Amino acid sequence: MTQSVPDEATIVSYLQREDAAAERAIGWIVDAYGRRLYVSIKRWSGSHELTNDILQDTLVLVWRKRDQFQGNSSLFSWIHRIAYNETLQTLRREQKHRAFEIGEAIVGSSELFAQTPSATPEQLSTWLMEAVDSLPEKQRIVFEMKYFEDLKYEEIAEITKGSVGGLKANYFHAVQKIEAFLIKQLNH
Amino acid sequence: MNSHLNSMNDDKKDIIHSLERMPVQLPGDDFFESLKKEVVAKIDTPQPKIVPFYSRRWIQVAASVLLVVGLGSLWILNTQPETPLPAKKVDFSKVTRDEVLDYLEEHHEDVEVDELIPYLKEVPTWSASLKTDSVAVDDNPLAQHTELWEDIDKEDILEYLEEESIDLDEDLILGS
Repeated sequence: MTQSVPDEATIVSYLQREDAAAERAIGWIVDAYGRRLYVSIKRWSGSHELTNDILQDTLVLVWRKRDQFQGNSSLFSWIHRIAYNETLQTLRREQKHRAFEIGEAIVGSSELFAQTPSATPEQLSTWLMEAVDSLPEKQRIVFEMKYFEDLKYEEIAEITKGSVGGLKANYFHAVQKIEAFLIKQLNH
Repeated sequence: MNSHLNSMNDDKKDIIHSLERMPVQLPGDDFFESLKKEVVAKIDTPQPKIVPFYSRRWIQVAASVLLVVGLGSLWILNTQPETPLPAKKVDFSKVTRDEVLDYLEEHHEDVEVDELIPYLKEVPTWSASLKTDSVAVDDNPLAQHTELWEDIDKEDILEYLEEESIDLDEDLILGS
């Protein structure tokens, strides 16, 4: 059963305890961030099975590295970064790196590509994920939170501990690069 | 197609925002509940640390304080000049003759008669009574000694000797 989740400071304090009560932090992390992490990992990996494995491995890594969390970013942002790196490693092991296996499309068709037969939702989704993966880390995180999760800049700033102005700049550059990448693929 | 895309670039069309974003399907709550159990099963739960008694911080502090106080007290006691206890004053005027005799009977081995004689002079009440039907006590200790013997009944002497297991000829004593 989903339990009431305490604030981040309490979760961190339990996570870094040296007794059995530290386990409770894992339950709270799953309740607080599990669904958002699932969505991100599923978008990166493309399959539920892989997402399940990566999510488990991510939480085990969070446990093992819990002493390294310094609070420079939010707990979710820290876990999100671990999840992303774990996804890349898993996809490399599965020899799927930079060739995201899109089990289901993450974007639909657009009127812009109505007369473009190659621009199927699956193909567009694959190109989009490749473009996102090519971004610098900060731009990628901001783009995903803004574009896919539809978070406000203020919310992203709270998670990443960044400034709203800096986040807007990162998002603007990310969009420019992704669009350039998509146009290049469509021109082939 | 290229001309179409070029015109799109020229018009600065927002490509990615024209795409319809498809929501990711979330699994049910059961998935996340079992996720918790599987992760907890994989992690090494820390065991509570057993801290030795002597290594606990407050024990160390308390022991240090006790040591300092203890050593300090010893030092003070050893360096203070000894002050004699106040002498217990005894009001000899309230001591009865029988009490003195009882005391002497119990502690006759500890007390030298010669030592007692000077004190008898300081006791006005019953030392005076000793003088009533006897000759005046002079400064000779032997004379005072003789005076004491005269007040003791012979039967008391025999009883005393019997208790002390001193076997003497009764006639010798009675005849003395």
